[in-house]
Amino acid sequence: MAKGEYLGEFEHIVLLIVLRLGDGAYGAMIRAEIERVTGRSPAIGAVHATLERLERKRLVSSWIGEPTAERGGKAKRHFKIEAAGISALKDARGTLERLHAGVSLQEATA
Amino acid sequence: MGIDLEVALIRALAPSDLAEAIIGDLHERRAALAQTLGDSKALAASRSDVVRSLFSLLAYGASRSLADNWVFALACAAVTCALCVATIPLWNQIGFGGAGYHVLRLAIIGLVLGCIPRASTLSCAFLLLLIGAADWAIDVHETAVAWRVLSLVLQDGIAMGAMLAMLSLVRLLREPA
Repeated sequence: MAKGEYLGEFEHIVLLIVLRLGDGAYGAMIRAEIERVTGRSPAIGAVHATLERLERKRLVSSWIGEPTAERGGKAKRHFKIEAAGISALKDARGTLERLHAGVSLQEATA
Repeated sequence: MGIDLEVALIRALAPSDLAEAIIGDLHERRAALAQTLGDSKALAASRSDVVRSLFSLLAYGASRSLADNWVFALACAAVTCALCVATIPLWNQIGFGGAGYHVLRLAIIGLVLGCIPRASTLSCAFLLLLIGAADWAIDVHETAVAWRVLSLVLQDGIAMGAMLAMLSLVRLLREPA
């Protein structure tokens, strides 16, 4: 990822989920895991659009699997995280840690 | 029938490579939900998923098209606009200078640009901007003229947009399920 370019919030979540699921994760599986971990239920179109965006940034790569009957004869599109994706996640975590450093999250009491 | 409508919507909005993966995921989720919730609830969930996907897919499709094709689309629009402006006297001379003929010409341009894969909608949008700029440059810069330019651009946009919509519909109907 180019210097000064940041992961969007949903990109960050999707990239982390692809990393958690390991090689071979695909759209429906990624969406289900996002729902399980975050409680959010994103639209499948949003998940795929984000995966495409991440692939165009070369943070993940994809390949097409075999068509199956349970998917109406459509093939799965599998994803895996690339080295640049790991690096982007490290950068994002570093940025968040620096932002949190020295800041108290306790609510002020009246 | 339900899933066909969803498939048609996704195919109309998403780039083709993306659409097939999404349709497969929709099938898979619907089949899983049908086992636990029943067919009608699974269908409703699937439809809701498609509706919630529309904005993301539209936005992504537009940004991808812009990133991939804007130079080509702008070149197509510039050449078309130059031809439009250069042939204005010709149309008047041969008696095809009226507003009706103008709309017809724009509809034909929409049809032609719509058939060029990398130009299509983006070229029509650029062409509208260029036509607006050309109209503005040709006429005097007055408020009344601004409204006239806007109404002309709107009229041209409707003519080209109608052709693009018609092309999308034809492609949708010809697409195998």
